[in-house]
Amino acid sequence: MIDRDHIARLLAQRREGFSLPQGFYLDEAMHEADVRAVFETEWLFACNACEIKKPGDYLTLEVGSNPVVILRDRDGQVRAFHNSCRHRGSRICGKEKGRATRLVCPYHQWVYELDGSLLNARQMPADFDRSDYGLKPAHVEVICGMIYLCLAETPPDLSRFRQAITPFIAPHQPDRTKVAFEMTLIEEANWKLIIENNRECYHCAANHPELLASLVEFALPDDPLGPAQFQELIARKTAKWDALGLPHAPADGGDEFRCIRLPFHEGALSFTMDGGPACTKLLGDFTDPDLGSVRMFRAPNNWNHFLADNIIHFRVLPLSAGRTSLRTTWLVHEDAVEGVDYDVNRLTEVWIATNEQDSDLASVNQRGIRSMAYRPGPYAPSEFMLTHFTNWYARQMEAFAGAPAPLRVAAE
Amino acid sequence: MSAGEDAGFLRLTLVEVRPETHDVKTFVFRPEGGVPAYEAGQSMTLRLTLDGETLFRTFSLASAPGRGDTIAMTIKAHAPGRATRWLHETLKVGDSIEGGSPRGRFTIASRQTERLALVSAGSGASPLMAMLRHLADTALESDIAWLHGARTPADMLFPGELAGLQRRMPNLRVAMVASRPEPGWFGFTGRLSRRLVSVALPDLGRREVFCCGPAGFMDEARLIHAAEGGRRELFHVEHFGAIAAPAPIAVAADAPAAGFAIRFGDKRFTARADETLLEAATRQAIVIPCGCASGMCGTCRVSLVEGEVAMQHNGGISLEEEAERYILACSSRPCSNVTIAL
Repeated sequence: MIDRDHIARLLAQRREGFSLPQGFYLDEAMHEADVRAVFETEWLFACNACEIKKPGDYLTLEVGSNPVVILRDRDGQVRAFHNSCRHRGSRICGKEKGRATRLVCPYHQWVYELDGSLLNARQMPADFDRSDYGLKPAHVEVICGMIYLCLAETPPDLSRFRQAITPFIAPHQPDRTKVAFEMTLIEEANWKLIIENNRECYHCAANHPELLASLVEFALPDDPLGPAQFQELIARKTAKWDALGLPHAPADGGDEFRCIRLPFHEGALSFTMDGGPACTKLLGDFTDPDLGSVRMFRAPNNWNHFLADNIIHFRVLPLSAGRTSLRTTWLVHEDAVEGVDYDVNRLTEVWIATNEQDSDLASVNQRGIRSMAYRPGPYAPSEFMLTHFTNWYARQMEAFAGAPAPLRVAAE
Repeated sequence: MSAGEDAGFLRLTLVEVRPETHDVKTFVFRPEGGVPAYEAGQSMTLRLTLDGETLFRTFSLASAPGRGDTIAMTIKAHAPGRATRWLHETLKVGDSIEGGSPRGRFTIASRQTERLALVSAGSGASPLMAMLRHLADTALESDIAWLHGARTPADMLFPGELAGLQRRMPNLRVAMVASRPEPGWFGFTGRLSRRLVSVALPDLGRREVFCCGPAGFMDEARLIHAAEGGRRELFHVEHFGAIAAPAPIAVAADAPAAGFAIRFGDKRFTARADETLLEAATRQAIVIPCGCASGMCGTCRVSLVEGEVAMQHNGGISLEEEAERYILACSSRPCSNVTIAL
C-alpha cells in the first residue's frame, strides 16, 4: 500500500544535489508510487512513428500494470488505447508488434475498429449498446517521429518541449527512417538508477572504452573539465553547423528535458568502434556526414542520439522496484539497404556494449544501495543533470504525496 | 619559341559548326594527318592566336572515338570568356587552329562497374556525350542514367539526340532539370539536391558516376553521391583548373626559405618549395605556355634537364613522357635547384 506520508517524509529528508534516500530505490511500495506519480501521470516515450507506418500497424507496451496498444488507424492517425477488453478486461493484443485489420479479443472475440469503437460483440443481447463499450483511449503526441504517450486524464503541456526540440531534430527527418535493430534489456536496478547512470559521463572513462572511441565525455560546450582542444573542436564544429543552419546551443529545458548538439571526437562521425560512418546513406537530405549528435533527454524515461547517419532511441520502463526494461532502437534512412549501406553489427555494437556495461553498473549500484550503511551521497559538478533529474522526480512525488502532514490521516 | 611543335600540336580545320542552344555550339574539326587516338571523355588543349596573343584553352571532346575523320567540341560562349567568344564569333568554317594531344583520366574506359550515371550541368554535358555516344557504338545494352541540369528548358543540351539514343538503348534513362522552368516544361525543376536526386535518379548511390559541370555543381554531386551511400572511388569528375589544386605535397623541413634557383632557357627565377614552377614563373612574369594549370592538359610540359621536383598531376602527362624526364610545370614543386627547357 502506498503511504503518502511516508513519501512526504522521505522527500523532506532529501538533500538537493545528493542521491535519493534509500527507500526511493528499494521499496516495492515506492515502485507503485512511482508508477502512479510519474508513469501514469507524465508523458512517456513509447516508440517511433516509423514502427507503425501503415494503418493497422500496432505496438504494445506495459506502463506499470497497464497494457497499452499504440496503433495507426485507417486515417493514418496515431492512437493509443488501453489494451484491455471492455467485456471482462482481457488483454487484447498479445504480441509486441503486428498489423491488424481490427482488434479482436482472443477470449470472446469482441471486435474493435482501429479507432477503438466496438464493432461486434457476439451473443450479446439485441439491446446491447456497443457505443458504451469502446476501448478506453490514452493521449498520444507525435513529436519529430517520436510517439509520446500519457495515461493521465489531463496530460501536462508538451508544447514547450515540442517547440524547443523540433529545430534540432526535424532536419534529421525521422519520418523517413526505419528500424534497423531493436533490443530490450532487462536490468536489475531501479529505473531511477538507469536514468541517473545515463545522465552522467563521470563513469565513462573507466567503463565505456567502445563508446569513448567516438563520444566526448563533456556535456556542455564550455565544460570547465574540457581540455583546450575541446573548446577549439566545439568552435570549429559549431561554426560549420551554423553555416548549415543546424542548431547546437543547449535548449532551455529546465529539469524537464535537455537538447544539445555536440561533436564527436575529431575525425569521428558516428557511434562505431572506429568512429567511421555506421550507415553510408545519410538521413534526410543531409550531405555532410559530420553533424555530431543531437543529445536529447526527456524525463522520465527517454534519451536519444540524432546523428547524420542514424538515430538511437532509448526507452526506460520500470517493472518493479529492482527491475527495469530498457528498449533501444536504431533507425536508419528508410531506403538504406542492410549489407549495402549498413551492417547491423557495426551499427549497433558500440551501444550494445555500452548498454550492457551500464546495466552492470546499475545493478551493482542497486545492490550497494541495499546496504544498511547506504546514505545519500553528493553529486559531482559534472553530475549536474542528476540534480536536474532528482529535483524533477521529487517535484512529481511532492505533487503526488502532498506536503508532509504527520497529523493527516493517510488518504487511502 | 615554338612550344607548340615540341608539345605535338596538330592543325585542326573547322569543317562544321552546329548551334546547340543560343550560346552553345558544336565545332567539328578535321585534324591534319588524321584523328589522334583518344578515349571518350578526354579533352584537348587549343592554341588560339587572338590579336597577336597566344591563348591556351582546354575543352572536352564531345565526339566518340572511331567515328570518321573529325573530332567535335561542344563549347559555350562565356560572357567574359575571350577565347570562347572568339570561337563563336570569329572562327569560320575553313579556318584552322591548333590543338594538342587528347589527354585526361576522365574516361569511360576507367569505369569499374556497369551501372553508370552521367551527371552534368551546362556544357559539362560535352565529355559525357562523348561517353554516351561511345557506349551507343559499343555497348547498346549499357545501364545508364543521364542527369542533366541547365537554366531554362531551351538551354538543355542534346535533347533530340538523347531521344534517338533512348530508342536504341533500352537501359538508358534520361532526366533533365531546369533551374528556371517555363510553361511547357515537363521535366524536373530546381537545383541539384538529395531531395531532387531521390526522385530524378533514386539509385544514384548505387551507380558509378561521371560528373562534369561547374565546380560547385560537381562538389554538390559528389556530396550527394556519398550521402546516398556511393563509394568515393566510383565518383569521377572532370575539371579544368576550376577546382582546388592537387593536395599540397609536404615541403621538406630543410627547404631554403628564399626558394630554389630555377633556370629556364636563358631566364632565371626562384621558386619556393611550396609553389609550383608555373606559379613561381608567373609570379616573376616569366611565361611558360600553359593551359589548364591543373595537370590535365599537358600544355606546360617541359623537359627536366637538371634537379629534382615533386610532381602530382592529373593525367596530363604519360608514363613514357615521365620516363623521358618531362614534367608539367603546373604540377611540379622544386626539391632542389632546377634547370628546365622546352
